[in-house]
Amino acid sequence: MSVGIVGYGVYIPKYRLKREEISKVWGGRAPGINEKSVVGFDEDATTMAVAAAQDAIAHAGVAPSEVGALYVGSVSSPYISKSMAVIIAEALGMSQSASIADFAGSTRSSTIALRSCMDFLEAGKGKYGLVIGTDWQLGMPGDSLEHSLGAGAAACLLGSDGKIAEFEDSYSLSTSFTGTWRSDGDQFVNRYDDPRYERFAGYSKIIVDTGKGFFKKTGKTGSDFQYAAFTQPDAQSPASAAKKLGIKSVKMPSSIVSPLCGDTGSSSPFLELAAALDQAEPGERILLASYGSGAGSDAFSLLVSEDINAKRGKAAPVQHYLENKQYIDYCTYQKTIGLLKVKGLPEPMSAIVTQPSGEREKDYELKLKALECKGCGSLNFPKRHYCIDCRGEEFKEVPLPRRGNIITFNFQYVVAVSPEQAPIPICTAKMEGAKGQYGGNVSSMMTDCKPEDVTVGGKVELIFRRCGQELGLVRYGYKFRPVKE
Amino acid sequence: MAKQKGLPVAVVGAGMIKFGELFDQSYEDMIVGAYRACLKSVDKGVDEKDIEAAWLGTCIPGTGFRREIVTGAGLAEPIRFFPRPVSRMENACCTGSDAVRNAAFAVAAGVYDLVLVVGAEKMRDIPSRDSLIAQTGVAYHSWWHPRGASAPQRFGSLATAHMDKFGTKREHLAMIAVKNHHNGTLDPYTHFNFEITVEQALNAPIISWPLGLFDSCPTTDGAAAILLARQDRAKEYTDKPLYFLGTGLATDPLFLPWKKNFIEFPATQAAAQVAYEMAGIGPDDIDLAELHDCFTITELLTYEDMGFCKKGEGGKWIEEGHPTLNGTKPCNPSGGLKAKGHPIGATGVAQICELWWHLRGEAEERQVKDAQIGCTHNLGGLGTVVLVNIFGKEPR
Repeated sequence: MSVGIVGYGVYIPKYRLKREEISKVWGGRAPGINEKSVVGFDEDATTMAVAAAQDAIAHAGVAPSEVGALYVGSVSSPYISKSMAVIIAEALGMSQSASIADFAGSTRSSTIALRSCMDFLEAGKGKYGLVIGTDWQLGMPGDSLEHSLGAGAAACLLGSDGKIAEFEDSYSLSTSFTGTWRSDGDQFVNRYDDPRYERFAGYSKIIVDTGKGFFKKTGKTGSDFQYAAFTQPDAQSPASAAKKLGIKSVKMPSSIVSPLCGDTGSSSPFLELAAALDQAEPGERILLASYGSGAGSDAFSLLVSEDINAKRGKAAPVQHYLENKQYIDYCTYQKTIGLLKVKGLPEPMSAIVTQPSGEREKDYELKLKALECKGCGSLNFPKRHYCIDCRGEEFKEVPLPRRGNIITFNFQYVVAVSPEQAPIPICTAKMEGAKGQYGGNVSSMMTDCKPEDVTVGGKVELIFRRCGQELGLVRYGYKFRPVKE
Repeated sequence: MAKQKGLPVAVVGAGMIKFGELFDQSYEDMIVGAYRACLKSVDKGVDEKDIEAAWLGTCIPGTGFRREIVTGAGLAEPIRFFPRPVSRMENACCTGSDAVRNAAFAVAAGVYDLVLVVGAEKMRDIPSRDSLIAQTGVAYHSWWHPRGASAPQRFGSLATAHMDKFGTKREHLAMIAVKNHHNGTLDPYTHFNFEITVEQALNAPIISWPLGLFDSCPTTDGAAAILLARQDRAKEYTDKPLYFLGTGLATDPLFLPWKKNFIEFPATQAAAQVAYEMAGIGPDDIDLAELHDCFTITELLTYEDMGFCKKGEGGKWIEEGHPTLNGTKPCNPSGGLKAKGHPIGATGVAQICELWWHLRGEAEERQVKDAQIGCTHNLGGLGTVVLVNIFGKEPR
């Protein structure tokens, strides 16, 4: 096989719920999980995927237009019928003719997406392919799954040039054994209430069987591997599975992510892989293995190559996300997942953003295209026919700068949408390098920040987030987040 | 540049109803009330049949009071005016004063000799959550609100910038609210009729930091009406008409990030300049001003942009007491939008009612001494449309 990982990126939301916060209300625990990651009000599987993918693309140093395939594995897409992968592709600025698909059905979906992407590249259908695992699953209040299920995304950019790790071989095992499931219409993941049988026939057995099958097929043994990057339903089972397979992870415990952010579902094996790659040296081997209840497992062997050191530091490591956190209480968590609700607002009388206007403006509002006046250089955003500064009529298409400095701001205490998020900071920023007196500015809501983080002159960046929902459709857009220097 | 010296038009009658939360009055009831008050104000009387045409200013049909469509018939029906012509005007918060402006143009053009202007808005029949502030936006922004950014958000961002650049304080804004509430206690037509203190204003709930509850005008029910006549026929109706000296309307971007900056209203500067030139006066000649204090920061910026004080010195100007009733240039003797209320379509017309009383010496306790020239100022959107009208006791 000549396909390998050219770049990778991860994303873990900054909010954390400690085990004690849940225990105070319900008692209970999940093995080894001390705290779990929780999305912000404006995040979901889509926005997390975009954040991780942007990092993977930057890490690889390729242009989005060169990426020929995008395969997204998730069991928590905001839609049953509507492609999350296509929203992600548009936000990333990929070509409309790329191969784009959603993989679902189990938390094994991300590695099935990985296999499909490898097939795509090996068949010579494209130069690069992007695979993302992204999930944000919910456990029923009081259930041990509420302790364990967290939020995160991880993306791998695959290709043949500039590999930091090469895929050597793979093995799959499919079985309908079921420990957890979520039926149509359910908000929460369900489970059989027997941890003894889960240990006997579930995750541990299936991962180990898959690993053994892989060894039998390839002739490799556990001692060939320095790292085990396994899906992590809790923080103990992966370690015991690695031990049974004879992998001695001397450099890295086999569960570094889940104790601090919980079970991130389809993104879990990739997050663990990223944690391994963050410290792996050329010549070392990683055994990557996924697990999906009711689906089975995929195992892959990766050999780390020389190029890994040259690309270090080009994307934020997993550790950055594990450390960048803010604790929330159980009430905030319940508000975030929608169990504690503010009394409903009147239905919108008319939406100014109509179906056609949303389509017309997508290049600017979703893909962040901007126009630079050929006459005076003023940055016009979104689309205009006459320059906002000099009234010129000729423009050059440019990408909107993502960073800027706050000109002014305020905090909204009375709001029509999302009153549970009030006070909402809103700012107008002059974008970096943007010219113009009237032009060059962008206004938006701010997120992931406290009032004291907001000052005139402060540096901010645009990030992809949920910007409301109408008729059950999520409106995605951009918000400002303070940049920490 | 103003091409015209004054307008050959005079106000010969002006009247309004008491603004407020008028649960017992319909939109039509308010229009009739204002119309009758206006007729009553005509010193020498007027034969209603002589009114040749009318303009109706109403801004937010559908959202404000759930009418499907507002047309000229909204006025023609309740006062049984048909089949005479009624045009309906909408131009954000300048709706009322732009109705007056357009009616004056028709008279100045020689098309009519006597016309009626009514501004009316029904805003309090719906719950606060449905209101302009909470529910609808004033400028489209799909990222954070399919219906736009709210008014307090937009004006709040001006306050922050002005504070950052010039050291203006929330106390300065509070002084404006205190002044307008005080004036409002002397005006029988106001929505709010109570005094407040600087401390109360500063400690009130925050709406959109740095703006609090008392920095914001209310939504209000109300209506006001005036009669405009050809200048050379004005004395047939009264010996004390108001002469239309100047009018200026200017525009500026609506979209928040397309503002030139957040410390001034270029459209106020432009509209005032045209109106001053047309009237042949300067800011020093204004004896009293009815300004658009939708938020206290708007009034503060307007002191500067109308040329009453230098840019950046609005805070100092209120601190020194210039715009108070006994100050060098009384602003909002009526109590302004803050105390009188802001029924959008009625606001600009009601401001002219206030000038009517002052320039005729009929403003009783709040009378501005020796008032010769007064102006009205309305600002819609975020300084997106601004209209300045100037009236005097003597023609130009």
